[in-house]
Amino acid sequence: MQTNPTFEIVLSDITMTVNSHFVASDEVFRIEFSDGRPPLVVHEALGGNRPFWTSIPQGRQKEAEFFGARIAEKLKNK
Amino acid sequence: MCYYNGQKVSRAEFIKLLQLEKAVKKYDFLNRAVHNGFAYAPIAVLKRDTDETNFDIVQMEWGFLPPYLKNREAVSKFRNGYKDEQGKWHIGYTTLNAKAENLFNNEKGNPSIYAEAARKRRCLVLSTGFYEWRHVFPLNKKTGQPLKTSIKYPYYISVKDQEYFYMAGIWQEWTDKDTGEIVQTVSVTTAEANPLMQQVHNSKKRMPTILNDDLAYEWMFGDLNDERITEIALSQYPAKQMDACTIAKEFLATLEPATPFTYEDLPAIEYAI
Repeated sequence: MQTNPTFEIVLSDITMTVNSHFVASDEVFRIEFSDGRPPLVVHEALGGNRPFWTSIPQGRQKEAEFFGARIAEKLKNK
Repeated sequence: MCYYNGQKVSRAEFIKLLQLEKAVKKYDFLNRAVHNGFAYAPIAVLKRDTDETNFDIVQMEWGFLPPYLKNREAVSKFRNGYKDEQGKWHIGYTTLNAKAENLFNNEKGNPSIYAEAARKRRCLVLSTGFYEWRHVFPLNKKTGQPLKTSIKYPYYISVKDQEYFYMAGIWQEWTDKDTGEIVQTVSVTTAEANPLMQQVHNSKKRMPTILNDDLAYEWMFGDLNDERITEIALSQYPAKQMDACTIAKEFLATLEPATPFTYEDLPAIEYAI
Protein backbone atom coordinates (compact mmCIF):
# COMPACT_ATOMS: atom_id res chain seq x y z
CA MET A 1 0.00 0.00 0.00
CA GLN A 2 1.08 3.55 -0.59
CA THR A 3 2.71 5.13 2.47
CA ASN A 4 3.21 8.76 1.46
CA PRO A 5 1.66 11.04 -1.11
CA THR A 6 3.45 10.95 -4.44
CA PHE A 7 6.21 13.56 -4.59
CA GLU A 8 8.53 14.99 -7.19
CA ILE A 9 12.25 15.66 -6.99
CA VAL A 10 13.59 18.03 -9.62
CA LEU A 11 17.27 17.63 -10.41
CA SER A 12 19.20 19.71 -12.91
CA ASP A 13 18.47 17.53 -15.93
CA ILE A 14 15.83 15.07 -14.76
CA THR A 15 12.66 14.98 -12.67
CA MET A 16 11.87 12.00 -10.48
CA THR A 17 8.28 11.15 -9.55
CA VAL A 18 8.34 9.00 -6.43
CA ASN A 19 5.76 6.71 -4.84
CA SER A 20 6.46 4.93 -1.56
CA HIS A 21 4.88 1.64 -0.60
CA PHE A 22 5.03 -1.01 2.10
CA VAL A 23 5.68 -4.37 0.49
CA ALA A 24 6.34 -7.49 2.59
CA SER A 25 6.71 -5.22 5.67
CA ASP A 26 9.43 -3.09 4.06
CA GLU A 27 9.29 0.33 2.50
CA VAL A 28 10.21 0.59 -1.15
CA PHE A 29 10.22 3.62 -3.43
CA ARG A 30 9.19 3.44 -7.05
CA ILE A 31 10.68 6.17 -9.20
CA GLU A 32 9.51 7.27 -12.62
CA PHE A 33 11.87 9.46 -14.63
CA SER A 34 11.21 12.36 -16.97
CA ASP A 35 13.86 11.16 -19.41
CA GLY A 36 11.90 8.03 -20.22
CA ARG A 37 14.27 5.49 -18.68
CA PRO A 38 12.52 2.46 -17.10
CA PRO A 39 11.01 3.00 -13.63
CA LEU A 40 13.27 2.01 -10.74
CA VAL A 41 12.31 0.46 -7.40
CA VAL A 42 14.78 1.24 -4.59
CA HIS A 43 15.04 0.17 -0.97
CA GLU A 44 17.36 1.11 1.87
CA ALA A 45 18.98 -2.13 3.02
CA LEU A 46 21.58 -2.92 5.67
CA GLY A 47 25.11 -3.92 4.64
CA GLY A 48 26.84 -4.91 7.87
CA ASN A 49 25.59 -2.11 10.10
CA ARG A 50 25.67 0.50 7.34
CA PRO A 51 22.53 1.34 5.41
CA PHE A 52 22.78 1.52 1.63
CA TRP A 53 20.37 2.07 -1.23
CA THR A 54 19.83 -0.83 -3.57
CA SER A 55 17.66 -1.50 -6.58
CA ILE A 56 14.97 -4.15 -6.41
CA PRO A 57 15.66 -6.36 -8.30
CA GLN A 58 19.46 -6.26 -8.57
CA GLY A 59 21.19 -4.71 -11.55
CA ARG A 60 20.85 -0.93 -11.21
CA GLN A 61 23.00 -0.30 -8.16
CA LYS A 62 24.61 2.96 -9.28
CA GLU A 63 21.26 4.52 -10.08
CA ALA A 64 19.81 3.19 -6.81
CA GLU A 65 22.60 4.79 -4.76
CA PHE A 66 22.29 8.13 -6.52
CA PHE A 67 18.52 8.43 -6.68
CA GLY A 68 18.02 6.78 -3.26
CA ALA A 69 20.22 9.46 -1.71
CA ARG A 70 18.08 12.16 -3.33
CA ILE A 71 14.96 10.57 -1.79
CA ALA A 72 16.63 10.47 1.64
CA GLU A 73 17.53 14.18 1.33
CA LYS A 74 13.99 15.06 0.34
CA LEU A 75 12.44 13.12 3.22
CA LYS A 76 14.94 14.55 5.71
CA ASN A 77 14.05 18.11 4.71
CA LYS A 78 10.32 17.48 4.61
CA MET B 1 28.16 -12.89 4.21
CA CYS B 2 26.39 -12.62 0.86
CA TYR B 3 26.37 -10.02 -1.88
CA TYR B 4 23.33 -8.14 -3.13
CA ASN B 5 23.92 -5.72 -5.98
CA GLY B 6 27.64 -5.90 -5.22
CA GLN B 7 27.16 -4.89 -1.57
CA LYS B 8 28.07 -7.12 1.34
CA VAL B 9 25.01 -8.02 3.37
CA SER B 10 24.23 -10.57 6.06
CA ARG B 11 22.53 -13.79 5.12
CA ALA B 12 19.35 -12.62 6.88
CA GLU B 13 19.38 -9.32 4.94
CA PHE B 14 20.04 -11.22 1.72
CA ILE B 15 17.03 -13.47 2.30
CA LYS B 16 14.91 -10.42 3.14
CA LEU B 17 15.97 -8.70 -0.07
CA LEU B 18 15.17 -11.76 -2.16
CA GLN B 19 11.73 -11.91 -0.56
CA LEU B 20 11.25 -8.23 -1.25
CA GLU B 21 12.31 -8.78 -4.85
CA LYS B 22 9.72 -11.51 -5.21
CA ALA B 23 7.02 -9.33 -3.67
CA VAL B 24 7.85 -6.28 -5.79
CA LYS B 25 7.78 -8.39 -8.94
CA LYS B 26 4.17 -9.25 -8.25
CA TYR B 27 3.05 -5.64 -7.85
CA ASP B 28 2.41 -3.91 -11.13
CA PHE B 29 0.19 -1.48 -9.25
CA LEU B 30 2.97 0.29 -7.33
CA ASN B 31 2.75 3.30 -9.59
CA ARG B 32 -0.96 3.85 -9.20
CA ALA B 33 -2.40 6.18 -6.59
CA VAL B 34 -5.87 6.03 -8.10
CA HIS B 35 -7.65 2.95 -9.29
CA ASN B 36 -10.01 3.79 -12.08
CA GLY B 37 -12.29 0.77 -12.24
CA PHE B 38 -13.07 1.17 -15.92
CA ALA B 39 -9.39 0.69 -16.76
CA TYR B 40 -9.83 -2.89 -15.40
CA ALA B 41 -6.41 -2.51 -13.81
CA PRO B 42 -4.78 -4.76 -11.20
CA ILE B 43 -5.66 -3.98 -7.58
CA ALA B 44 -4.33 -5.23 -4.24
CA VAL B 45 -6.35 -8.06 -2.74
CA LEU B 46 -6.02 -10.22 0.37
CA LYS B 47 -7.11 -13.80 -0.24
CA ARG B 48 -6.92 -17.01 1.76
CA ASP B 49 -3.72 -18.96 1.20
CA THR B 50 -3.76 -22.58 0.11
CA ASP B 51 -3.83 -23.82 3.74
CA GLU B 52 -6.79 -21.50 4.34
CA THR B 53 -5.24 -20.43 7.64
CA ASN B 54 -3.56 -17.20 6.58
CA PHE B 55 -3.81 -14.79 3.68
CA ASP B 56 -1.70 -13.77 0.72
CA ILE B 57 -1.57 -10.30 -0.74
CA VAL B 58 -1.96 -10.59 -4.48
CA GLN B 59 -3.04 -8.47 -7.38
CA MET B 60 -6.19 -9.18 -9.32
CA GLU B 61 -7.86 -7.73 -12.37
CA TRP B 62 -10.76 -5.56 -11.20
CA GLY B 63 -13.85 -6.75 -13.05
CA PHE B 64 -15.16 -10.26 -12.33
CA LEU B 65 -15.05 -12.56 -15.38
CA PRO B 66 -17.24 -15.65 -15.54
CA PRO B 67 -15.27 -18.74 -16.65
CA TYR B 68 -17.48 -19.36 -19.71
CA LEU B 69 -15.99 -16.35 -21.56
CA LYS B 70 -13.68 -17.90 -24.13
CA ASN B 71 -11.12 -15.22 -24.85
CA ARG B 72 -10.39 -11.49 -24.59
CA GLU B 73 -12.67 -10.75 -27.54
CA ALA B 74 -15.54 -12.38 -25.63
CA VAL B 75 -14.52 -10.37 -22.56
CA SER B 76 -14.68 -7.14 -24.52
CA LYS B 77 -18.15 -8.02 -25.82
CA PHE B 78 -19.27 -9.02 -22.33
CA ARG B 79 -18.08 -5.74 -20.84
CA ASN B 80 -18.93 -3.30 -23.60
CA GLY B 81 -21.88 -4.90 -25.36
CA TYR B 82 -21.96 -5.78 -29.06
CA LYS B 83 -24.12 -6.00 -32.15
CA ASP B 84 -24.62 -9.54 -33.49
CA GLU B 85 -24.76 -10.59 -37.15
CA GLN B 86 -28.47 -9.85 -37.28
CA GLY B 87 -27.81 -6.32 -36.08
CA LYS B 88 -29.29 -6.98 -32.64
CA TRP B 89 -27.58 -5.10 -29.80
CA HIS B 90 -26.55 -7.11 -26.74
CA ILE B 91 -25.91 -5.00 -23.65
CA GLY B 92 -22.63 -5.15 -21.76
CA TYR B 93 -22.23 -6.03 -18.09
CA THR B 94 -20.22 -4.13 -15.51
CA THR B 95 -18.84 -6.56 -12.96
CA LEU B 96 -16.60 -4.16 -11.06
CA ASN B 97 -19.21 -4.35 -8.32
CA ALA B 98 -21.56 -7.10 -7.20
CA LYS B 99 -24.76 -6.02 -5.47
CA ALA B 100 -24.98 -7.72 -2.09
CA GLU B 101 -28.68 -8.40 -2.66
CA ASN B 102 -27.88 -10.32 -5.86
CA LEU B 103 -24.91 -12.46 -4.83
CA PHE B 104 -26.91 -15.67 -5.13
CA ASN B 105 -29.80 -14.75 -7.40
CA ASN B 106 -29.80 -12.02 -10.00
CA GLU B 107 -32.53 -9.44 -10.38
CA LYS B 108 -34.53 -11.79 -12.62
CA GLY B 109 -34.43 -14.45 -9.90
CA ASN B 110 -31.99 -16.71 -11.78
CA PRO B 111 -28.79 -18.07 -10.20
CA SER B 112 -26.15 -15.35 -10.12
CA ILE B 113 -22.73 -15.57 -11.78
CA TYR B 114 -21.33 -14.57 -8.36
CA ALA B 115 -22.93 -17.35 -6.30
CA GLU B 116 -20.08 -19.87 -6.28
CA ALA B 117 -17.46 -17.18 -5.66
CA ALA B 118 -19.51 -15.74 -2.81
CA ARG B 119 -19.61 -19.18 -1.17
CA LYS B 120 -16.04 -20.28 -1.87
CA ARG B 121 -13.83 -17.36 -2.87
CA ARG B 122 -14.38 -14.36 -0.68
CA CYS B 123 -11.53 -11.87 -0.36
CA LEU B 124 -10.72 -8.36 0.84
CA VAL B 125 -9.85 -5.50 -1.47
CA LEU B 126 -7.39 -3.07 0.12
CA SER B 127 -8.22 0.58 -0.26
CA THR B 128 -6.91 3.89 1.00
CA GLY B 129 -9.97 5.69 -0.35
CA PHE B 130 -12.31 5.69 -3.30
CA TYR B 131 -14.02 8.14 -5.62
CA GLU B 132 -17.63 8.85 -6.36
CA TRP B 133 -19.47 11.57 -8.23
CA ARG B 134 -22.21 13.72 -6.73
CA HIS B 135 -24.80 14.90 -9.23
CA VAL B 136 -26.21 18.36 -8.66
CA PHE B 137 -29.00 19.74 -10.84
CA PRO B 138 -28.67 23.54 -11.10
CA LEU B 139 -31.84 25.62 -11.17
CA ASN B 140 -33.05 27.26 -14.35
CA LYS B 141 -32.60 31.01 -13.73
CA LYS B 142 -35.90 31.87 -15.39
CA THR B 143 -38.21 29.13 -14.15
CA GLY B 144 -36.50 28.17 -10.91
CA GLN B 145 -36.90 24.51 -11.89
CA PRO B 146 -33.97 22.10 -11.80
CA LEU B 147 -32.24 21.63 -15.16
CA LYS B 148 -32.31 18.17 -16.74
CA THR B 149 -28.54 17.96 -16.99
CA SER B 150 -26.58 17.59 -13.79
CA ILE B 151 -23.16 18.94 -12.89
CA LYS B 152 -20.93 16.18 -11.51
CA TYR B 153 -18.56 16.84 -8.60
CA PRO B 154 -15.96 14.21 -7.64
CA TYR B 155 -15.48 13.26 -3.99
CA TYR B 156 -12.70 11.33 -2.31
CA ILE B 157 -14.10 9.08 0.40
CA SER B 158 -11.94 7.56 3.12
CA VAL B 159 -12.25 6.01 6.55
CA LYS B 160 -11.32 8.28 9.45
CA ASP B 161 -7.99 7.56 11.18
CA GLN B 162 -7.26 4.55 8.95
CA GLU B 163 -4.51 4.58 6.39
CA TYR B 164 -6.25 1.76 4.57
CA PHE B 165 -9.38 -0.29 4.97
CA TYR B 166 -11.01 -3.45 3.65
CA MET B 167 -13.78 -3.78 1.12
CA ALA B 168 -15.56 -7.11 0.71
CA GLY B 169 -14.74 -8.83 -2.55
CA ILE B 170 -15.30 -12.09 -4.39
CA TRP B 171 -12.88 -13.48 -6.91
CA GLN B 172 -12.86 -15.78 -9.89
CA GLU B 173 -10.02 -17.32 -11.84
CA TRP B 174 -10.42 -16.84 -15.58
CA THR B 175 -8.52 -18.54 -18.41
CA ASP B 176 -8.16 -17.17 -21.92
CA LYS B 177 -8.69 -20.37 -23.91
CA ASP B 178 -6.84 -18.95 -26.92
CA THR B 179 -3.63 -17.94 -25.17
CA GLY B 180 -3.70 -19.92 -21.93
CA GLU B 181 -3.43 -16.66 -19.94
CA ILE B 182 -4.78 -17.16 -16.41
CA VAL B 183 -5.88 -14.18 -14.35
CA GLN B 184 -7.66 -13.78 -11.07
CA THR B 185 -10.52 -11.31 -11.35
CA VAL B 186 -12.39 -9.62 -8.55
CA SER B 187 -15.59 -7.75 -7.86
CA VAL B 188 -16.24 -5.49 -4.87
CA THR B 189 -19.61 -6.04 -3.22
CA THR B 190 -21.88 -3.07 -2.67
CA ALA B 191 -24.52 -2.23 -0.11
CA GLU B 192 -27.14 0.47 0.16
CA ALA B 193 -25.52 3.83 0.77
CA ASN B 194 -25.28 5.09 4.36
CA PRO B 195 -26.51 8.66 5.04
CA LEU B 196 -23.20 10.19 3.95
CA MET B 197 -22.91 8.15 0.76
CA GLN B 198 -26.58 8.78 -0.09
CA GLN B 199 -25.61 12.41 -0.57
CA VAL B 200 -22.30 11.81 -2.30
CA HIS B 201 -23.27 8.97 -4.63
CA ASN B 202 -26.73 10.42 -5.03
CA SER B 203 -27.36 8.94 -8.48
CA LYS B 204 -27.22 5.29 -7.41
CA LYS B 205 -27.22 5.52 -3.61
CA ARG B 206 -24.85 2.58 -3.25
CA MET B 207 -21.49 2.18 -1.54
CA PRO B 208 -18.80 -0.50 -1.36
CA THR B 209 -19.15 -2.92 1.52
CA ILE B 210 -16.51 -1.64 3.94
CA LEU B 211 -15.73 -4.11 6.70
CA ASN B 212 -14.31 -3.56 10.17
CA ASP B 213 -11.57 -5.93 11.32
CA ASP B 214 -13.95 -8.49 12.86
CA LEU B 215 -16.24 -8.66 9.85
CA ALA B 216 -13.25 -8.73 7.50
CA TYR B 217 -11.89 -11.79 9.32
CA GLU B 218 -15.28 -13.49 9.28
CA TRP B 219 -15.79 -12.66 5.58
CA MET B 220 -12.48 -14.22 4.61
CA PHE B 221 -12.16 -17.17 6.98
CA GLY B 222 -15.69 -17.85 8.27
CA ASP B 223 -17.64 -21.01 7.42
CA LEU B 224 -20.73 -19.04 6.41
CA ASN B 225 -24.13 -19.88 5.03
CA ASP B 226 -25.75 -17.83 2.25
CA GLU B 227 -27.76 -15.74 4.70
CA ARG B 228 -24.71 -14.69 6.69
CA ILE B 229 -22.71 -13.96 3.53
CA THR B 230 -25.50 -11.69 2.32
CA GLU B 231 -25.85 -10.12 5.76
CA ILE B 232 -22.15 -9.18 5.88
CA ALA B 233 -22.14 -7.96 2.28
CA LEU B 234 -25.13 -5.76 3.07
CA SER B 235 -23.53 -4.23 6.18
CA GLN B 236 -23.25 -0.47 6.13
CA TYR B 237 -20.10 1.11 7.44
CA PRO B 238 -21.08 3.97 9.80
CA ALA B 239 -21.19 7.38 8.13
CA LYS B 240 -19.69 9.06 11.18
CA GLN B 241 -16.51 7.02 10.74
CA MET B 242 -16.06 8.17 7.15
CA ASP B 243 -14.79 11.33 5.49
CA ALA B 244 -15.79 12.74 2.12
CA CYS B 245 -14.18 15.77 0.51
CA THR B 246 -14.47 17.29 -2.92
CA ILE B 247 -11.47 17.01 -5.20
CA ALA B 248 -10.52 18.55 -8.53
CA LYS B 249 -12.40 17.25 -11.56
CA GLU B 250 -9.10 16.40 -13.21
CA PHE B 251 -8.13 14.19 -10.27
CA LEU B 252 -7.30 11.13 -12.36
CA ALA B 253 -4.48 13.03 -14.05
CA THR B 254 -3.02 14.69 -10.96
CA LEU B 255 -0.12 13.56 -8.83
CA GLU B 256 -2.07 13.76 -5.57
CA PRO B 257 -5.63 12.93 -6.50
CA ALA B 258 -6.96 13.03 -2.94
CA THR B 259 -6.10 16.72 -2.47
CA PRO B 260 -9.22 18.61 -1.32
CA PHE B 261 -10.67 21.13 -3.76
CA THR B 262 -13.47 23.58 -2.95
CA TYR B 263 -16.29 24.33 -5.37
CA GLU B 264 -17.87 27.70 -4.56
CA ASP B 265 -21.26 26.78 -6.02
CA LEU B 266 -21.61 23.35 -4.43
CA PRO B 267 -23.94 23.03 -1.43
CA ALA B 268 -22.36 21.33 1.58
CA ILE B 269 -23.26 17.79 2.50
CA GLU B 270 -25.58 17.56 5.47
CA TYR B 271 -26.74 14.37 7.08
CA ALA B 272 -27.97 13.30 10.49
CA ILE B 273 -25.59 11.11 12.44
